[in-house]
Amino acid sequence: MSTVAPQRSPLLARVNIPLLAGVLLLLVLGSMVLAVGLGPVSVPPGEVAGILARHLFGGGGAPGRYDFIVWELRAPRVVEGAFVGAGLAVAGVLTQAMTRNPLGDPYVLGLSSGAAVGAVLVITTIGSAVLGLVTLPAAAFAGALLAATGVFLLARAGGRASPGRMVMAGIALAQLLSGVVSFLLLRTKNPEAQQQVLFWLLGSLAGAQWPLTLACMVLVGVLLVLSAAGAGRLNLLVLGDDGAAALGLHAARFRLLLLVVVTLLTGTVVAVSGSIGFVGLVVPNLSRLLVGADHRRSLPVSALLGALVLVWADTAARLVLAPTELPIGILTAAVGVPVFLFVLRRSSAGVVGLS
Amino acid sequence: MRTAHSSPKPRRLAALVLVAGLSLSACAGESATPAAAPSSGMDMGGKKAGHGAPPACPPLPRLDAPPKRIVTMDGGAAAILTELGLGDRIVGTAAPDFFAAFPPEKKAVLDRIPVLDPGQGNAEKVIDARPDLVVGISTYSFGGFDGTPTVDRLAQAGAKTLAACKPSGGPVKDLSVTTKFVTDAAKVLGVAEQGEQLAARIQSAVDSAKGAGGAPVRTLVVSRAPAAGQPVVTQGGTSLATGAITLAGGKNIAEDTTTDFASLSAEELVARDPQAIVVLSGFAPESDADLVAAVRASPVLAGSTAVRENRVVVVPQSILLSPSVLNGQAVATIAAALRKTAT
Repeated sequence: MSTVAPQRSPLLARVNIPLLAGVLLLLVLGSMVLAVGLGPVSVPPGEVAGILARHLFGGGGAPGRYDFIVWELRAPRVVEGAFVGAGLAVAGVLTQAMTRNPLGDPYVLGLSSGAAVGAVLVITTIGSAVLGLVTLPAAAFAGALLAATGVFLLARAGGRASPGRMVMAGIALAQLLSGVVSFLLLRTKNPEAQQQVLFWLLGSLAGAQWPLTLACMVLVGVLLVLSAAGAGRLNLLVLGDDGAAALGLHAARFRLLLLVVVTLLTGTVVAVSGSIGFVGLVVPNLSRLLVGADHRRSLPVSALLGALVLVWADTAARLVLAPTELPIGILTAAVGVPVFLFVLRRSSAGVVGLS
Repeated sequence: MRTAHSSPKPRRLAALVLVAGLSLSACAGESATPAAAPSSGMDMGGKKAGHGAPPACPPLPRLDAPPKRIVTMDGGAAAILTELGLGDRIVGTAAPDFFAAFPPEKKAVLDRIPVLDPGQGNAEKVIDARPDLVVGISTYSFGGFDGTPTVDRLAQAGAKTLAACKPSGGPVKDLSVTTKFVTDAAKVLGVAEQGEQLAARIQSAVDSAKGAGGAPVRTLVVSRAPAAGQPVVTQGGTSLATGAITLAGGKNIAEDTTTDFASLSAEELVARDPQAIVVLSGFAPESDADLVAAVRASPVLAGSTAVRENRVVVVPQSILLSPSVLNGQAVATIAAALRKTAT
């Protein structure tokens, strides 16, 4: 006689998603305000609130002693962290649906490596200032786009790209592109360029400034809305091409569209923050453990959890050894893994299915 | 002259080497970008975009009045300003580990400077000190991915920037970078005469320590024992160490590389057979004795002329790789080792 372990539903399966999203959004906003108040320099909470109020809602008075630290150093960094986290998490959700593989993320498809190659190539050859502010983001996006095109073409068989081949092609391409980055790094003798390249390898929010933060907000915001609008069709895609076709979805075409969106998301966030791992892989799985595999539920939760993880990871990166900063990659894992493992243990025997 | 970069700090160098797995230069190099404007991560003036970009050498700042609140990004800069008689204007420093190489009485004076950050110089900490001038012995003191302030960030916060810079081009042959930084800094700070005097003192120390002539001694610089099977990371031709070795009567065996850090294969190292080894302290956690023992025991170096003839000397990285009041001492230490007869 065989026994079957009872299937437990996701931890928050019955929670109304708009309600949960609202709570998470409040949590993200609250965390952002808290994060702006925390740093190597102690700033009284009242002072932080006053500075934020003055800049957000206007008001008189000359900038105080902490104005620059709070508004110019911390605030853009925290906002950028939230959008980068949300962008990476949603890019992970889309990639996992596209490849029908819970281990999928932009790194697996070679997109992050492509973005890094684009940026590093510019840094080590013509310089990062040729087109001004948009030079590196444009190069990173172009690199991600080329990598995406490469993956798509390499994965094509019989006129369409299968999910399995996409993963294989992506991993192979990512390895190749990582080699290209190392080669470019070795070839350049310009220490300034080497230092910049290091940023792409490690990832950091330390250089955040308002103009690119705002550009990142707008681009990621639009892409998140588009992704959320297509969440229902993601549910069809994970059924497989035949299943999707039976329900009226042209899987190959939709997969191509997803590739474009993931490329845009990855290019945008990598351009402003470098390569930050973990979020795109783990946060979508965490969301599914919490609210189930329905993308209409898991996608908004992923975006908000991604924002939450990165805001706190960056805050921890600034505080753990303050005033020395830690690479954010260490902290994304330190913040995210315990939560993920906790939820995994509480969930139904580690089932992280996509459908 | 004021074009490229100057020397880095140990932690950042360690990060460069560790993370990239390469010998990455963070010191002088070939980038010859006279920075008419500040540059940084997301520079809005179209000069640079991208995080973590260290600035090209900033121009000498023009100060309307002598600075009253100076922050130094490292102990080396703090020591130079103190020697110029400006110690009382330093409101804080980062990287005080540079003080370790100074004799006790001078170190005691330097230790009185408030430490803002034992590490690289966190942007918040630096700006919170409300400096009107921030000084560093390296352009890499500014705008790293590890949270140091960029030159334009400092400008936005109302602080000017002064950094030591090295000329671009071939191998470094002397320590003019140091004397130039000292005199430039002194002029900017309104103490030109003291600057000339300090530069003369440093030059005099260098001159009195110079090698006695003869064939240059083939010299290798390492900061840790070479790991088996891995290339040896050493100082290249544009490192300030090359200048000190040349003055001491040696020849850096990696002088032909046009970077600060060079990577030599084990085969190449054996072929170049160093006659002397300069071991940099301050990077590795081991004691000097343990470091030297490890270097001597390294398979790739154990058979070298340097080890066989016992010409292995320890020099603090803080006085060899970057402008320092003690650069002359570094030359003297190396020169004494090079002159040593085989034992």
